[in-house]
Amino acid sequence: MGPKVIQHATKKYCIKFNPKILFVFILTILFVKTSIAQNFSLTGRVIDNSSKENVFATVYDTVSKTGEATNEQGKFSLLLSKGEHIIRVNCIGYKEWIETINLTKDTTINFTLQTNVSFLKEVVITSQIADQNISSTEIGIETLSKRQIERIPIIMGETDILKTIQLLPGINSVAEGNAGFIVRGGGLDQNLMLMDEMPIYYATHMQGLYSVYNSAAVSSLTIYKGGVPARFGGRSSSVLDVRMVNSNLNELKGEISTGLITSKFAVEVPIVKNKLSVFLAGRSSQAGFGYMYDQLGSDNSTDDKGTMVNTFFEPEQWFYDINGKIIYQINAKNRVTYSLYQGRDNGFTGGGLTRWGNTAMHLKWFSQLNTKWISNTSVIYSKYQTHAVNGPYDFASSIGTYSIKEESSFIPNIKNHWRFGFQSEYQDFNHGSLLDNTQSDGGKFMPPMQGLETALYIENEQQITEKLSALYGLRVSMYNKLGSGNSNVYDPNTNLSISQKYYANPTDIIQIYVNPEPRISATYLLSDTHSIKASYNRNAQYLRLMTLGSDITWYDIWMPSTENISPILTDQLAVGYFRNFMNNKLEFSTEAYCKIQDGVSDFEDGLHNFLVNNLEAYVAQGKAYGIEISLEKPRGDFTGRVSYNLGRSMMQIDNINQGRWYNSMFDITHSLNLLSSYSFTKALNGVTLSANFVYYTGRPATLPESYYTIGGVAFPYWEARNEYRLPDFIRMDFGIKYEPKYLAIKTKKPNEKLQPVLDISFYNVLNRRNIYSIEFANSTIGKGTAATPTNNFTPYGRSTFGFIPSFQLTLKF
Amino acid sequence: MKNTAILFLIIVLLNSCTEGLHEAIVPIELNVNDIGIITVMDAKIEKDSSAWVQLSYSNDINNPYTAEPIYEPNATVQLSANNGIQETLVYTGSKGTYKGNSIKGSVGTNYSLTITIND
Repeated sequence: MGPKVIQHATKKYCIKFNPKILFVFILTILFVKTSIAQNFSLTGRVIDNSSKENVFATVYDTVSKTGEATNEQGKFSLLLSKGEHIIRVNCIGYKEWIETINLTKDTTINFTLQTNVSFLKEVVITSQIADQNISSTEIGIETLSKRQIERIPIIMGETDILKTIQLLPGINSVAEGNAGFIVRGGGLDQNLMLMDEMPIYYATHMQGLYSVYNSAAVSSLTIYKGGVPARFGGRSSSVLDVRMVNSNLNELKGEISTGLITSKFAVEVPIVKNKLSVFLAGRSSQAGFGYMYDQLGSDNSTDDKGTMVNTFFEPEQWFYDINGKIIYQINAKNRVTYSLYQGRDNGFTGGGLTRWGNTAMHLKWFSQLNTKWISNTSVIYSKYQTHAVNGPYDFASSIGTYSIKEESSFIPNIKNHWRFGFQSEYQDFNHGSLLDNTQSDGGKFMPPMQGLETALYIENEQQITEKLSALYGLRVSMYNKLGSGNSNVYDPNTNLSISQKYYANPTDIIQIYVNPEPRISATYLLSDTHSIKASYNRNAQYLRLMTLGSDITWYDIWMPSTENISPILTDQLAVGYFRNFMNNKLEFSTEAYCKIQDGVSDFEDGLHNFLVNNLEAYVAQGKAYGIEISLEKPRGDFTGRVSYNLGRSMMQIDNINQGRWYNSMFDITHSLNLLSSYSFTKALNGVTLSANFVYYTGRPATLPESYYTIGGVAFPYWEARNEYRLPDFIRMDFGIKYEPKYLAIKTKKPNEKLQPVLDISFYNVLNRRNIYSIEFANSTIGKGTAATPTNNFTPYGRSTFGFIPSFQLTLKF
Repeated sequence: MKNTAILFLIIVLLNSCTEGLHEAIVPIELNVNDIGIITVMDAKIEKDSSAWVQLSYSNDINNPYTAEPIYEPNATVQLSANNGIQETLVYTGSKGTYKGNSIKGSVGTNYSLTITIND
């Protein structure tokens, strides 16, 4: 049994700082400690040559054929017989270290592994152990590395992670080309979007076409569709945890890239070797080929509304992003990082110039208190703001959050990994204000509001028995709506405020909500190749984005829970079966989920969210359920994935559809995604071909069955909301990536090259015009304007994109 | 020379993709449910003036647009105020409109309408 297990361990890959794979090695560690006569211990630590971080490696003695994996602190301990041993230390992404030792007494030896630069790019993809999907407690979780993202054809001229995740099972696009996404039938504002732990409140550029995540600055992303650990909270459907590049402390690295939509760069600069390092990335639409092409002015035209449009951008439309990170390694046990993001959009809207964007900062202190205890202390600031100027009309709105966060990681033994901590976030809402309140729309906005969201949590990832492991925890969240401000009582018929109470002090509590949020996910290994998993979690959400229809727009406002709008509470139950075939080459999984939501909201018929001062929506119940099936080949020259999702998402509100359950805006019945890519290794070396196929049922739509006429003006009449559907969505993309090895420019240092990469992609090769909204030929219908007599009300569909070829040229060093 | 060729290629590529980048409006086939005809009532009462009611019928969305709907000339329209006063509105003879006479709108009074459509 012993040797078999050891072989098992050395075959696996390893990863730095991933506690989850600890469990896989438990058996190994249990079995290697067999007693041998005249034994000495060989102990030590494995660290990274440049960063001095612990490396999760395997230490293997080829003589006695025993070995073990290093623990969270990079430490190992072997019991070996007296005499000569050949120790091999391995970790994917590092060069193997082989050391011959003559053991005559208890010995301590530290190994310093050098990163294998040429191989490092691949690390990300293979850094998971091959059967991680089977043995981990993760259910409803998808992880993508930069390498995986890069293997997918570029969508609409720009590598974009929010587009990429829409190709995963259970995640759907809300509209073509829109970075807004639906997770398991949940609303767009129910996704917590993090960038190095900083919350992002408006995650897109150009009205949703591109996300704020600069792909050159992203190192990996994890999306939790369910099974959300207790350390995350605040949104009820998903958590998108995006990690930006950690600057290399040892050597200069970077990439520059140029494409149709943007040009971008990312550079990692060690200022003081092994001590201080700076990462900087930037992206600008004005440096892209599209913008330059527009400047030639050869293809300017007008759209159906009569507005001048260029080929790529509207006049005055541009955006940029800046990502920065400073890493300061104080000593072996303490590190301070500072992350910064700033992005801005500029657009010509409503006759004036409008600018909007996010600014976020995160200061984090990582401290290893002792061998078992790691503490992370953070101060986080994030603000989304808009500013529109049109003559004397000077409008601004914002949401700003200031939070303090402490998380401790405690690993008492190899079977347990505890995490506990707290987060407290002060939220400041400016729901719209005019610089000059005497302007005609002055006072037509919601008053400013403030809130404090606090949470305490504890969780443990535990290997309970050989076959059973679980991640369980509890999060207790509290929301305080704070002064100054009014609490309102509304008339149920007229929706007008009938009484108010004013709270003057910033410390006055207008409303308080407390919610315990239990979270548990468990895995039971049926064998090495298959397992069953189950999870239950409750998520409380205190903020809502007041969007109308399906698109998120720059002027949508975030609303806190108030005395009239209770928080969204979501209970999600999921079960899954995971199975690997062909020696872990093929991964099959299926998950069924059921979500019950209380407190989701929808608008009353005919309401709008712009220039209203008492926006408090109807609160409803929601439910969503479905099943996801996925078959994936994650590694090798050929990678691919087929996934299918059958889902349902419904709502029930007393005032809509006579209180009947109806399809929510996010109800997508069938969804099928195919991803594939093939890297040539012999002939055509350096070429990767990839293809996507996407199919999903059209989203629900409300259509008028009849119209009525009052005073010569036609008004649409519909019997029920979301009774119909948009046509089904079908799209196919192709991509070619070419990394010509012969064009690689050698530098002075060995193993270092300037590698050019050319990406050519063909979006929507079928040139199918997918419909995202339906309108009628008398498009003024419903807006109080007379329709042209003799016309029929002919339905037309609006489609965003047809066939789009694009390219991107990248130089990596 | 090579640079010019590359530039030319890029321009060609860019030109070929301009079509797909633009929003398109495409006709589609829709089949909405037949929900029948719905009675439409438009009514008003203002301060110090008598009541006015117009009765008409909705039109199917697939039918050609007509500015003039089908009106209902043959209804009994009764107006009652919460102070107990009642009156029957009189058909004006055109466009489905019925007018009151004795009851004038006053602030703070609730009014209700009872409409019976006669076959």
